[in-house]
Amino acid sequence: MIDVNTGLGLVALMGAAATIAGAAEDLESDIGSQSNPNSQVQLAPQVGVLHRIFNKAISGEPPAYAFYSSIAATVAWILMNVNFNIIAAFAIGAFVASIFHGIYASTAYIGRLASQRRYGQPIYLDVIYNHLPPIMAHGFVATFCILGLSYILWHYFEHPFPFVMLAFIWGITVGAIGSSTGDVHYGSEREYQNKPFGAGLNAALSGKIVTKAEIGTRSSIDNAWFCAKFGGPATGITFGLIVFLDNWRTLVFDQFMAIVVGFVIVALLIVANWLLEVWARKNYGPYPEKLAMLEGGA
Amino acid sequence: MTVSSCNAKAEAVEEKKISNNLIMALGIVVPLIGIYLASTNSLFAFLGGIAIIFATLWGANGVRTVAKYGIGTGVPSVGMVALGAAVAAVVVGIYFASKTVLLAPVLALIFALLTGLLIGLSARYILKMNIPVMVRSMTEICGAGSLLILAHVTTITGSFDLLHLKSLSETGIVLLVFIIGALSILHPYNACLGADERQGRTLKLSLATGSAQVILAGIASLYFIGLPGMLTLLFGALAWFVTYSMFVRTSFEEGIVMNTGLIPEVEHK
Repeated sequence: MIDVNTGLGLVALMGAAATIAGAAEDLESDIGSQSNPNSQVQLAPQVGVLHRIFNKAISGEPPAYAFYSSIAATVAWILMNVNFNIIAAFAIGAFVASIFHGIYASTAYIGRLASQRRYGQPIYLDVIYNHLPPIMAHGFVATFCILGLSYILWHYFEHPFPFVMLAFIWGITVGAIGSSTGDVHYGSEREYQNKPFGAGLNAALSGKIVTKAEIGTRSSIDNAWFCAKFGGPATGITFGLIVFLDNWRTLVFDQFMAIVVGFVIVALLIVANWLLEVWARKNYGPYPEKLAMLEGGA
Repeated sequence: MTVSSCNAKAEAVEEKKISNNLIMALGIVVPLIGIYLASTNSLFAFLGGIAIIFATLWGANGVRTVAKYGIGTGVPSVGMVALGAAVAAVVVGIYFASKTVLLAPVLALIFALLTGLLIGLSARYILKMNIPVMVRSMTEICGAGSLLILAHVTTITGSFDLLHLKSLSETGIVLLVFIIGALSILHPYNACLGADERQGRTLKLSLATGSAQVILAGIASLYFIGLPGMLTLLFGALAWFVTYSMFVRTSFEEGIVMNTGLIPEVEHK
């Protein structure tokens, strides 16, 4: 077993890899409009809102990332077994995973838009050509970092699970966090940017997403640019903190104390979230009055 | 491009439905033959690839049948439930057949069908989901899942006995099998979801996702059976190229394809 100082350094490295993975994962899912915001993109043509936004429906984010991570981990693990350089094995594994990512993404866009023909929604070939490379590249970065942190956990901390299983589990985790943290920024802020902040989404507005950009038509790459300011980094910090704090407590404290520290961390986070929400409501709410003011002003 | 002209185009495509019974027969017979042939010699392991493709076809048709009733976001869940039940059924089937190994695929299929039946009955009568095809579809999807997993085990390790399943589990690759199987069964309908979804196109995509899995099984089998795994990989790549091209061609024929351009005007009702 490694000493605590080296262990802390490795845990910090895992946290850093997780932060990059989280940010890349969220931005990737925003370019493809995957997961929660996807329902609005899917609904848009039915309510007469045609668009040039990528519709990447590959299950939800957690299974999708488990899919890419386990493909990458399998390839990397097979290469490691023939004494391949580890970093190169990760890169090749993540590359193979991103190829499969691209294949599945293209079939989702083509298939879903072909099924919306009666609404007049075209399949834009340039949307496929322009969006697949950034989707695959962000997926590559996220998967590569997942492999890195799984490897540290498996090789240095001697985790009893096999490498592929660890990558699978971290893949599900990063997908779940991207889906719950980052998607809010894209789904409620970006897709409904023309509605006042905090207004909530009226059912009558379902599918009526913003399709015009500052100049010309909005593309999904613009969405990544917007979400890189907040949603992506927030997802990265969330995932990084989870990986760092969880491994830190089990490394520094012994078994029983580690559980107690875990409870303390969760309690502190609950209090902090509650204070933040109260502060936000005081400053930005109550929402109906603010809404009336905004609408009157506009 | 106006909505009315699109409607006219939509009606032009006739709906030619392939019967569920035919697909079920293909989905049981071809994978079983493929699994048995693949287990005879590691040189024939690539024949397991055919089993993978046809099991995916059957499973994807089952997902399509049940999800047609408006299970929008539930499509991935259906695939996951099926493969989860199938993994358990395969383990039980192989365990019970440890004396007479040749019975394993049949036993696994029977256990999977029974599990699927139980899941379907629970969903229909306990959860009161008002979907008439639920029982049959869940049974079919679980059966397809078990054959899919067995086909993967045979293609990757060259055999379907307990020892090989154990080595697949110890290396964690069984999770790769689980997730690529689940995604390939649920993806075809999920990716073609929409008002103009058509069985032929969805099934073409299921052939493509099935073939993509064969490539991955080939890569994984390089570790277990060595060089014959390249045969599986090449077979998978060839099958994928053909089926993916078929799917893209059909979609481009049925959809409105534009190289580039602004958003067309539609007549608002």
